[in-house]
Amino acid sequence: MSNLKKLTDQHKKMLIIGILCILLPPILTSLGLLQGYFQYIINITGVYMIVAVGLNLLLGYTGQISIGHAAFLAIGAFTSALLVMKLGINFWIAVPLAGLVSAVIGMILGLPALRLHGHYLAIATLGFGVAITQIMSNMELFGGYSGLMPPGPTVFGQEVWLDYNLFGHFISGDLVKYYVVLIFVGLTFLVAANIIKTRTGRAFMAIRDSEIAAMAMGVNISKYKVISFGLSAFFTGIAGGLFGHIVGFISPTDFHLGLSLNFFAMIVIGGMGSLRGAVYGAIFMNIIPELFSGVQHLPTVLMGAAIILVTLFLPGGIVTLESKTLMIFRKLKGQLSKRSVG
Amino acid sequence: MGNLKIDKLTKRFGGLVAIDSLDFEVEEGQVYGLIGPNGAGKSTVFNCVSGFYQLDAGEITFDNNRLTTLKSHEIIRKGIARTFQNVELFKNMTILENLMVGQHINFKTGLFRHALRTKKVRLEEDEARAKASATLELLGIGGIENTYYASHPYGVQKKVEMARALVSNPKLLLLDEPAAGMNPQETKEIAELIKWLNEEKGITVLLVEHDMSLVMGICDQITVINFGKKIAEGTPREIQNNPVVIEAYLGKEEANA
Amino acid sequence: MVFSFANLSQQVISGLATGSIYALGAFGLVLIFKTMDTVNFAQGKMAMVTAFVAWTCMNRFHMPYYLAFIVAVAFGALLGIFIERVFLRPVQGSSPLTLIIITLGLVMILEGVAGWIFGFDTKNYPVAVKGDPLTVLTAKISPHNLLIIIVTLVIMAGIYLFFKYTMAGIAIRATAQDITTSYLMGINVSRIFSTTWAVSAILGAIAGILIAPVSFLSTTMMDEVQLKAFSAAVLGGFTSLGGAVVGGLLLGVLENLVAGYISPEFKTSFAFGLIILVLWVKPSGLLGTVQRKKV
Repeated sequence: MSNLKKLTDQHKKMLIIGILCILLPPILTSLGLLQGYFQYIINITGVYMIVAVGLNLLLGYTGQISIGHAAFLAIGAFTSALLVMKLGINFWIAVPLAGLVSAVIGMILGLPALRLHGHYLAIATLGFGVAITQIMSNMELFGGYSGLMPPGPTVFGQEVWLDYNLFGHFISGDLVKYYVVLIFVGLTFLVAANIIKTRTGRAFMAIRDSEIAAMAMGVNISKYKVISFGLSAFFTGIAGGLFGHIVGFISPTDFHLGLSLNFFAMIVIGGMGSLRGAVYGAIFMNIIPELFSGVQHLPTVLMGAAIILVTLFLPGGIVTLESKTLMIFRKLKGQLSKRSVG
Repeated sequence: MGNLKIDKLTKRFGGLVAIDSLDFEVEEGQVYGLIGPNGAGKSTVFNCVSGFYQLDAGEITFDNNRLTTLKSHEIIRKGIARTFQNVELFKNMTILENLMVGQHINFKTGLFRHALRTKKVRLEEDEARAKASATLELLGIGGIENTYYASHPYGVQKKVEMARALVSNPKLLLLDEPAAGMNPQETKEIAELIKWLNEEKGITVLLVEHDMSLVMGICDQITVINFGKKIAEGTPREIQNNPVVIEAYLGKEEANA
Repeated sequence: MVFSFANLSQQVISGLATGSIYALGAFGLVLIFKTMDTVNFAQGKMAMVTAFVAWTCMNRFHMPYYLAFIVAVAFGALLGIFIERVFLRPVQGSSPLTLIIITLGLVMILEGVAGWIFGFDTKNYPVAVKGDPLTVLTAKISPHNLLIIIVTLVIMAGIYLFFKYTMAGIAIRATAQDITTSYLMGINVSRIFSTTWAVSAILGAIAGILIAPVSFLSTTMMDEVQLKAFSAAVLGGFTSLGGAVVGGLLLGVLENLVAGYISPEFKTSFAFGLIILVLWVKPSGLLGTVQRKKV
C-alpha cells in the first residue's frame, strides 16, 4: 500500500497505458474488430516507434541531423538475422546484439560527424545511408537482391510465431509478435525516458540549444555527440532486428533513401525532442499509407507535404496539439459548468 | 585558492593583433575589473581564459595549473565558471534544467546507470535539484524553476545565467558584462550580489564591464586595456585619476580640453 | 584489368563525360548555397521531373528531340522559380534544419507526384546524337558522351561570361557575398533568388536529360547523380563555383578509375567516402560554430 501511494500521477498514467496495451488487442481480436493485417500494421508501427525514439534522441534532443537512418535499420536487421541463421544464436540475444553492432557503427559515423554541422551533416549521413545499403546489396553474405528470410524466435526450442488455441480463444501468430514487440517498445521508452531525465539527456539538449554554453558548463561536446549517435543507432538497430524477424524477409534494397526520409519526416511530424512525439510520428507514418493504399505514390506526397506544413504552421509537431486540444476541452468544460450554474 | 595569472598573453585574428603581450594577475579573494573602450579586447581575454580561443603566445595559469593546454569543457573542472555577454541560456530547457546542466561536472554517474535510473542516480538528481532551487532563492529569483528563460525580463535572465555558473561551485567567476542592458536599479542589485558572493561565499571574481559605476563601486583592482595592450593598472581611485585612461576613454582632444 | 595507357585514357575520357553531369549538378547546388545558404536536396528530383517532361513531349506530343529538350529546360526554369517563390521564400534566413526539412519535403512531394503522373516502370530515353564511337587520342568515346562534355564546357563558359560581364551576373555574385549590402545597394534581391533557382534548375534539367539514356527514366534516376553532385561540391569546397566544376570532373574520373581498377560496386561508396575524407582532412571553414560564432 505504501508503495502504491508513492506512485505519482505520471506513473499511474503509464500504468494504465501499459495495461491497455496488454489487454486491448486480444479483446478487440475476440470481438472481431482487429483483423490479422491490421495487427501486422500495429506491429510494424511498434517497431517504427523504437526507430522514432532512437532518431529523436539524435535529431530532436541533440540537434544532429541524420537522413540515413534506414542504414541502421538494415544493419540491425541483417546482424540479427545472420546471428540467428548462421550462428544459431537465440533471438532474444541476437536482437540486443544487433543493437550493439549498430551502436558501434553509429559511433564510428559519429566521429567524422563531429566536425560537421547543419547541411554538411545532412549530406554526410545521406551518403552514409546510400553507401551502406549499396555495399550490402553487393555482398554475398547479405543475400544480395534475393535477401534473407529471418526465422521467428524460439522459447525452449519451441517456435513461438504460431497461432494458438487458448481455452477456445484463437490467438494469432501476429498477436504473439505483438507482445514481443511490446516488450521491446516498453523497454525502449523506459530507457529513453530515464536517459533524457538525467545528466546524459540534459547534455544532449544543452548541445542542441547552445554548444558554447554547454562547453562552458563542462559538457564534452564530442563525447556526447558520439554517445548520441551510438544510442540512436542502438535503438534503430534493435528495431531492425525485430523488423527482420517479424516481416520474415529482408533485402538490402528495402532500406532505401526513401525509408530514411520517412524516418526523418516521422520525427518532424510527430514532434522533435518529445518521446510522445515519437509515438505520434510512427503512427502517422504507418497510417497514412494504409489510408491511401489505393494510390501508390500519394502517401509519399502526403508525408512530404506534411513535413513542410508542420514546419511552417505547427513547429513542434503533432504533439503540441495535445495541450491545444486539452485547452479547448477545458474551455468547453468551463462553459458547460457555467451554463449549468446559470 | 583562486589565483589567476595572465602572462604575456597574445592573440591574433589573421593579421590583427587583438591582445598584445598582456600581463595581469587576479589574486584570491579579489573582485578584479577588466575595462577598456569598445573593441579593446576584453571579451577576447575572457575567451582565452575559458578555452574558446587558442593562444598565439603566452601563458594562463590558475592556482599554478596551466589552462593553456586544456579544452574548453575542462576549464570549469578547475573551478572557473563564466557567464556570457549576450545571455547564452538553453532556450528549450527549463530554468531548472539549465541549472542542472550547470552542475554537469558534479555528477558521478554514467550512461548505464542513467539508462536504469538507479537509486544513486535519483539521489544525485534530488540533490542537484535542491541545490538549483536554493541558488535561485539565494539570488532572489526563487520559484521560477519550471519556466523558460525567454519569458523573463533581461535582468532575471542575467541572474539565471549567474546562478547556472554558481551551482558548479566555482572558485573563480568570470562575468562578461553582467550589467549590460540593465537599468540603474538592476545594476545596483547586481553590484550588491557580486559583492556578497565575493565577501560571503569567498568567490574570486573577474569581470569585464562597460558600466563605470559598477566597476568603480565593487572592484578591488582594475586593469585597463586599449587596442589589446594594458594601459593602466591600479585601484579604482588610481584608475579614475589616471590621465592615460581618461584619454583612452574620451579621446585625446577632449581630455586636453 | 591490365594497366595500359590506352586503358587509362579510356577510363579518363568516359570519366569526364559522367563528371560533366556531376559538375552541372554541383554547380547548381553551390550557386543556390552561395546565394541563399540553402542546400537544395530536391535538385535531383527537380531534374528528374524535367526529364520526364522531355520524354512526354517526345512520346505524347511527338516533338523532335531538341524541341522537347528546349521545352523541358524552360519548364525546369519555371519549376525552379515556382519552388523558390512558394516553398523557400517564406523560410528565407531560417535555421539549416528548417531549410533541410523544406527541401526534403520537396523531394518526397516531387517523387510522389512524378510516380503518380508518369508511372513506376523505367523508360528508355534516346541519345542526342547516334553514331559509332569516335576515337580521341587512343580512347573511344560515343558521340553522346562527347556532346555531354562539349555542352557542359559551353555552358560553363557561358555562365562564366554571364557572371563576369552582365549586370544580372554581377548582382548575383554580390548577393552571394552579402545579402544585406546588396539589398541596400538597390539590387532586387528577390529577383536574384528567382534567377538563381532558375539557373540552377536549368543546369539540373540539362544534366537529367543528358544522363537519361544511361540511367533510364525513373523517379529515382537522379538519386545517385545527386549524391555525386554533393560529393563533387564538397570536393570543390561547396562555396566555390569553379570548385564545383573541377570537383565534378575530378570525381567522374576518379570514380571511373575506382570502378575500372578496383570494383564497379564501390562507386557510390567511394563518393561517400570522399565526402567524409574531404570534410575530415580539410575542414577549413567547416570546423564549426565555435570559431565563427562570436562568444
